[in-house]
Amino acid sequence: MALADSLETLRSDPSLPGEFTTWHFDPPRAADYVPFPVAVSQALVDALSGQGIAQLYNHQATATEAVISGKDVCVVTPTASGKTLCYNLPIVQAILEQPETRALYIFPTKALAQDQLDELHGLITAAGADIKTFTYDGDTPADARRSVRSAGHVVITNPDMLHTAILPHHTKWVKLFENLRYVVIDELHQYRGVFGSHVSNVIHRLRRICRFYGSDPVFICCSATIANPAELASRVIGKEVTLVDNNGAPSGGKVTALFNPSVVNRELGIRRSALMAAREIADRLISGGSQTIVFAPSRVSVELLLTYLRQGVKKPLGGPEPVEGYRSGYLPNERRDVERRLRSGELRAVVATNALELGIDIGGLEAAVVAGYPGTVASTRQQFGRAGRRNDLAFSVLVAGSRAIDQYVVNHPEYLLEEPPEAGLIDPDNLQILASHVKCAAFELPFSEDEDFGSFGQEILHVLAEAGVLNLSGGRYYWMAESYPAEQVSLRTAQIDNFVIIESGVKPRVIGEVDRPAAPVLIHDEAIYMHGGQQYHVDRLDWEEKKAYVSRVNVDYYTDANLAVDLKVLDSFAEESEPRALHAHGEVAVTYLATIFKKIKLETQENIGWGKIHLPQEDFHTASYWLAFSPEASTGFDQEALQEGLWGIAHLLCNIAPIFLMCDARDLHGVAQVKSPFTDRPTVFVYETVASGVGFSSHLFAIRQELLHSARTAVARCQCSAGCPACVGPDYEGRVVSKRVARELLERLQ
Amino acid sequence: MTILRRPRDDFARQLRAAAGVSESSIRPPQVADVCADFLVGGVWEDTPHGPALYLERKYDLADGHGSFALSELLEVDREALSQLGCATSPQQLLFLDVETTGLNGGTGTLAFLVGAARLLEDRVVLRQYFLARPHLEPAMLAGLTNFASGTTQVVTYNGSSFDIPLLESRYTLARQTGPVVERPQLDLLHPTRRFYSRSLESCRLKDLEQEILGLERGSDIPGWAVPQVYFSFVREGVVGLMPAVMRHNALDVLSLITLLRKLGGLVAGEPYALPSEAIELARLAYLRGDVDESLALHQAALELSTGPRLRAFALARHLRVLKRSERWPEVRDLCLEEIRRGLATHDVYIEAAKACEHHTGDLKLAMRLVERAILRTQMRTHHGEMLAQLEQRQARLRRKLARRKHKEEAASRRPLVVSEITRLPLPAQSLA
Repeated sequence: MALADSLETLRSDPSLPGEFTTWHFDPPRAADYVPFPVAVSQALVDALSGQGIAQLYNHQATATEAVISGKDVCVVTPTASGKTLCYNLPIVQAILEQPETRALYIFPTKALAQDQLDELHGLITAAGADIKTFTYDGDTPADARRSVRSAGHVVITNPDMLHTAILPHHTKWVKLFENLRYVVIDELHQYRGVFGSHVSNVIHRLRRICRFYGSDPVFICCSATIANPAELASRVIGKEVTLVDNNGAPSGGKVTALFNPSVVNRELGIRRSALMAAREIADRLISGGSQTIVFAPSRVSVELLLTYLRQGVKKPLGGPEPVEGYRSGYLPNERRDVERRLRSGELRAVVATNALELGIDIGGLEAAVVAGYPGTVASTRQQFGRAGRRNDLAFSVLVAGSRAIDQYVVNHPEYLLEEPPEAGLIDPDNLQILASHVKCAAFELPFSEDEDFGSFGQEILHVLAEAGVLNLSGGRYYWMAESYPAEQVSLRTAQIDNFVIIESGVKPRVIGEVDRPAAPVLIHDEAIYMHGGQQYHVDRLDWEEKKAYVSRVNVDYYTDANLAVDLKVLDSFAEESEPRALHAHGEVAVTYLATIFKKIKLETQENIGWGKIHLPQEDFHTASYWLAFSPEASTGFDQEALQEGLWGIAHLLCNIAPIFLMCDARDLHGVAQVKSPFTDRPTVFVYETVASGVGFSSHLFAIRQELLHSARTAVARCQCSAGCPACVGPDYEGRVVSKRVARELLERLQ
Repeated sequence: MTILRRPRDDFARQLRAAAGVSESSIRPPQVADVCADFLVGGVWEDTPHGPALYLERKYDLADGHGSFALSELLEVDREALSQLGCATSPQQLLFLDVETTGLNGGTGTLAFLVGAARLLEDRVVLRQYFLARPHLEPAMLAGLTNFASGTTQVVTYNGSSFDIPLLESRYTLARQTGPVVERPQLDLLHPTRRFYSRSLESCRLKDLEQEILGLERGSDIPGWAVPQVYFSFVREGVVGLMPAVMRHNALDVLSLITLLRKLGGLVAGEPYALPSEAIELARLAYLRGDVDESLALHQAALELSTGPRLRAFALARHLRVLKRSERWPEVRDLCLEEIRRGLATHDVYIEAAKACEHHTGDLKLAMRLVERAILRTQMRTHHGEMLAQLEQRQARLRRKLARRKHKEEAASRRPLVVSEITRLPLPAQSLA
């Protein structure tokens, strides 16, 4: 059955647990071809013709011309539009003309680097050129590193490796740095928020070292569609870029739909589970013969969906699984295998987290089912983009969850389909981030007394010299410590010290990894950890050794851990008092403590037991915006009602803020305190989940009136009676006055 | 309403917090005193990159350093030295050791003291280039280049993975070419390890001095304390233990001379005392093509060996030479002797069985050896794959023995003639 037929049936299937709120069709688009730019040599043109590329798409030619003329560019085109040629073509051309030329490719992950290496090899082989390309990452064997450093024309790496291994050892890379003419930064949109702020500083360090060796490379950035690609690119690389977005690639037409699971209980605002609805839709698509990717919001939900979908698809006797999972925590070779089987078409469906949102080459699939709003428009479009073929129809659907933001999106399709997606925000001048990179940069090359780095480079150098970490000698700051600063700075918020999961037995075997923040809730003692559709019982978590010992089980439940959160204000950076409220932002200490876990029955989702978790608490310092109510503004409610109302506001603000900040919903969390020890008043906190923060809280402080206005509007317009996920949060565990109190509190501030 | 307000902290405090600098670590900077006592007698050398500071010490060739006089290196047979990787005459060697601000590597690690010694006709000259201020590094490197001119090989201890790459990095940063780092290296750590790692607990230079060079350093600054001494000097002008660092470095450099002397002497035929010395000498003899000498040295090593591990190693080496020379009966007898004395390891049984099975043709003996090995292995708690491999060997031997028996029987029978064959009874199945 062709996809079109599947869709026809799907659209009018009354047995689906909900309804399609939108059914949008993008007609097929023809390719926009242009001839090769004259600067491209005949050898290369012939090589490409041999690969079936007789002409270029419009954007490829524009990018090539711009790069050849020495302009920094940012290429923005959809998935599978041939963007890699935008940089491979001018760079291979440059190396052919001048064999000394070197280029550095930076991809956010190792997996992507490997993928690109294969593609670049293809072009080089076809052109018959003697161009050496290498990946340089944690997997590069020690004995191969020397030749990569001296002989590699194109070195493919990731920001972390550049940060810890290449820049601090730049003297070993003299050949590369002296001749570095091009730097490619692919998947630029990944470099947002804290990660992006770090990467921007790493690039700044890279350019500083290039200057030392007398080179000034051209940057070629590639981004998925975001609101401000050129702005983000220029902030990351520290100079203006030319935007290339005249996409000339064809498309085979596409249906985009939004699905809202039906309401189970209007009073409670509870809807059917998005996961279950996604399962129903995916089941139908897969059995209709369409190769399908299902995106799930978390690692646990990937495993749940995988289990369900495998029930629906018959596994051929003795043959490979037709449905696989793909998420962080799977070992690299498992992932490579899934990628390969997707490309070959052997795999009929894959359930993934956003790990597959990245540009990993899995070919264009026919259908993408996104279970739950991924948090950003850009991310949703990336996931949708996984379904798309040059000549055939493709289908993507978002199944809304019951969160406020999901409900907003599913009821406002224009937000997802027409509005520009989020902006990529970074704050490279964030003091903590900047200071750590000033240290790294000072280690790499002594700073002079008049050299800038970010907005406060000299100020930071001064305090470092004051403390003796740097020594000012002959007008330069010299590193004067035994430490290796790059090792103390992780670019990613997820800490690098992973926990390994070991299946006990005669021959213990590592089955996967979990990053540290997730460990207390995923692999505490007695947790059911799911991997590849198989359940494992965690027999023992060795917190010190970072190892979880598990054994295979087959039970009818999974576990869900509760995380208790406590917040203390350390410092207030700015405050604004109104007659009835105090707004502020500042530094807070947040404590996470995994307390208990629930056992939840598969299929029925009922709670069938619980247990205590005994693990040390995790502390981190971050930035927060807070809103404290004056006694007049909060009078007339009893303690309990006030608590409910404040939690409701916290919920509401966390739901609404991402739309203003254009950040990921997971970047913010809320806490409510009836009597905050710091303000001494009823207070709602919206804090950043990234240690130290990236400036979201000061932004919230600045737009506080708009934020409160939207909150009032949202709660006033919501149809539910006493609170629902779309406004102040679902009314559960006896919270009945939440919505009324929240609304009243907010209105008193007007 | 009253507003709770804590005073906003000043920007410097924020900066310090962001930079991870504690308020208590702040000290007023002091300029290091380049006239400090320990630098008295220092020479400022003019280089194209500015002035370089060094201290020079001259030693009489007859001066002792531990059990040896410095001059003794000149008396060692050149051929013996070349077997250790020394490509030139001792007068063209530069003995070098650096003290650094850390062990992590990377361009932020400085070499603040470079000690280098040369053997001249009548004396030994040791120069210690000292980085009085970090910005004077280019001059220091240029000075070192000057001092090294005329030498053709650099002798270090662990220099190939530490001192030399670090200096290489420093020269690159200073945008200078450094003959010191481009020259062939003789890293004495490698031959030393081959000579001593199996007899001595550690091959750290300091321990070697005590064990084999007869040098007692007395109170010496531990290596880990060295960076802090320099930091205090540069930051606050504190001399502190810097004289001890200078002494430590000087001793390190001089010990390179006597260590090369010691190893060269052994290769040239001086008496050895440790089994591991004999084993390494045996290896060198084998490389020279002197198999008998090699075997004799291994035999001597076996006699000297006390611990089972060292003995097993000596035996394995001995067997390797015998096997490469295809002296199979000797392989077998050596193993059998070891078994008879109750000293044999699992590997010895296997070696013996292999020699018997594949080379000397004693299948029955091979079988007995394998059976004994199986018994031994079964008594062990962890035998992993060992037992399976032995059983495989046993099965193969059984087949070979059966085949041989069959052949022997066949050979003992007289040939049948055709008429007789027809009268033989047919096997039962073929009637069916």
